[in-house]
Amino acid sequence: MLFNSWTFAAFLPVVWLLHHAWRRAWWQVGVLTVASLAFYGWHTPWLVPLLMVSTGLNSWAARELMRPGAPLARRRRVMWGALGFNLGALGFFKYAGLVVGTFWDGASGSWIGSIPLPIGISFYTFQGISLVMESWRAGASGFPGLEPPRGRKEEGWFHARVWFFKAFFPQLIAGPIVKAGEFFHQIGPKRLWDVDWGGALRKLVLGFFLKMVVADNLKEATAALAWPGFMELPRGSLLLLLYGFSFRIFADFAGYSLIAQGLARLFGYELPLNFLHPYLAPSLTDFWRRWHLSLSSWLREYLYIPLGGNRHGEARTYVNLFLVMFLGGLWHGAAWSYAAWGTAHGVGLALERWTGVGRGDPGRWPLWRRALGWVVTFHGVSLLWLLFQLPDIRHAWGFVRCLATNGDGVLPQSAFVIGLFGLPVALHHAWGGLASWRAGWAPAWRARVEALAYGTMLFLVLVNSGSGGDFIYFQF
Amino acid sequence: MMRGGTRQALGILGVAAVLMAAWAWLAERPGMAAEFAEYNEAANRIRIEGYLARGSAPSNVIVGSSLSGRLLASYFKGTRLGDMGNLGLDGSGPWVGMEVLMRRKDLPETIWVETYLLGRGETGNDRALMDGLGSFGMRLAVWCPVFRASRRPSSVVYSALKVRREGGVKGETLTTNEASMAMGEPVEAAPVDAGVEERWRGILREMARRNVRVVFVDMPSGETRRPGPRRGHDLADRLQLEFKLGRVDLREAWFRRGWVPRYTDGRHLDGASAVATASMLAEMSGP
Repeated sequence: MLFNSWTFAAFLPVVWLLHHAWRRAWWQVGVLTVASLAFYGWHTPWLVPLLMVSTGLNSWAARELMRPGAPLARRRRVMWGALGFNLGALGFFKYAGLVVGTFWDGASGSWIGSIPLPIGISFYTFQGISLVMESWRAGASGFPGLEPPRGRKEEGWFHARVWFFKAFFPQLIAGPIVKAGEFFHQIGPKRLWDVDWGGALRKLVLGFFLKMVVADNLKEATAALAWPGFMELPRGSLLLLLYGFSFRIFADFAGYSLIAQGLARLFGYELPLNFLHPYLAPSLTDFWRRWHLSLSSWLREYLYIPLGGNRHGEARTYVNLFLVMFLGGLWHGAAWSYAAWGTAHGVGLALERWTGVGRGDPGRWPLWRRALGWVVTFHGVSLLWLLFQLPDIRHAWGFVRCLATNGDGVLPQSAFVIGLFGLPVALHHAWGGLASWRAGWAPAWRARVEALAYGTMLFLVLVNSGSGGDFIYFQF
Repeated sequence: MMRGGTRQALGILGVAAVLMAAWAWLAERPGMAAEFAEYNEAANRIRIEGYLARGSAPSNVIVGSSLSGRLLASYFKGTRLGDMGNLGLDGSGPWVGMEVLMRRKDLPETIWVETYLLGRGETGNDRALMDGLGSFGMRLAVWCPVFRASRRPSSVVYSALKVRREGGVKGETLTTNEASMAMGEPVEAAPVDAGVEERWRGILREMARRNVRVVFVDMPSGETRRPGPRRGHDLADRLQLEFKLGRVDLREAWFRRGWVPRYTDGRHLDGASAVATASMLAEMSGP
């Protein structure tokens, strides 16, 4: 089910009313878990058993890892077994086609190559791994919100909460990736009057605006970013396409994350921040402190630090950085172009570390350095997004060549669309960049300006939405 | 006492409600509805919603691709085809327009079917359009004008700019060119996708049963020289003979007058040429 569908518009109030109908934690967790499974399997019910198997196994593993007095060897076997299952399922459904197609000529057309990708598997698998790792670290003492059960009644409640954590529908399909330690302590009875209406509505309005007004209206204009269609376009239009796709991918994914956060708030839960005005970043290092924060944070905690992080010398740090970004790139999709995208970011981060460009607080940099860094970073990031739209690296390179060699000029229609619908992304970033200035506003004045801005966005969601459809990050 | 968050939420909803009411009033003023849109999907929605929301079916409708989509209904005002509806859909073919026509109980007296993509089967774009036809969003737009694509603020602005840029499409910008009058190479019959011919037979039988006149129209599609003779019988020829349909060749009509159409992108008529084409169609529509 899509957040931007009429089906969801009917589903949400029903689930919300049922949830708040009875202030009992087990009832509310039960309602949300069942609703989440219905949400997930709405169009493809065969996906639900896969989610249930993954959840069941991770739930069992978490319980075993917290069992008091369990021998270390057994706990270790359970931990590695659960990690193996999670990574194996992800590898089979997501990467088997790529591996077979790469190493066995002509086999990509076989049944392995045609295995459909279960939607959201990359996200809920990472949450499962987070649960296993937190349980392994916590042991018999448990962690806040998920203590080892004492007695049969608590046993059921333990597993019910794990199922809820894995399936909670706002974040199930495309994140934000919630780490176990961030979520379980929030589970409890929720009161209707505790709902933060203002905060939830702001997130929902901005999220739907970015998705339905910005990203969906940019969809058709940026569809021209396809081989070989762009070959004939003048240079100005190519540059606009590059910017347009950059704006679209941000608006699509940040929009989804904001909607997820807003929905979670309606039920009394707080999901982690995923975007912090990423196109304001004056360096790649800063970009990754602002883009898809829940993934960066997951990779740092469960991959970069266990690999040794920066604790084993400069050379090892570069290798770790490179490896994490390569795998992070591959996480996005089963194609070598995604690995190339991640690797290029890894090389950029390593270069910034080596030259010292990315060090320090960019807020304290001189204006010229921030401006120059911003221009270079935004164009570098935008050029690398080409690999998301043009999976054949030769085609992406062809685009760059056309950018350098095609004649001048710009097509007015695409200039209108990309200019008009890219403007809100620029304004959103400007709004973020002026945060310290806005902090000095009188509260009443700020409330009025916000009501006007969010009210206008809601109006545009209702009358100026684009063509709709999937979110870009669903395919990952 | 109301909490700050709740008060702010009500403020946001209040601003949105005021803007909706103001826009609903403003968008109903004459000349505010967009005829053009900034991209294909929105342009198609304008045509489909406009057609489905009419009180009664127009007496004439042209169905086809974006080629005939250029012949806006307003270009026919004051001609013999004054009551014309347009279902020339961008990125699509004439059979989708026929499907839209059949969504209404009443049908037009005459349907002008563009032949350019007559033989093309269903595409992803066609499927998306067909899915949209039955959607709740489309029903809402037909029922409530403020939700129509023709009232999208961005399309209203784009349409106004485009009309202004084309000089209100009233200027005489037709060209003549002696070299272009020479006969071109013979035109090969267009390929026909599987199942398409039978689908058209079904549609044409249904139209005959309901006493609707169908006329095939050959639209200018990028010709800058006089089109050559057709080689072999294409789908339009076969169906024309079988169902005894009328046919209007607007490509030939241009060159017969010693004029050459002008195109915005090598294929689609510019504003002035579209106005002239609409006028030619009206002249040739007589009994």
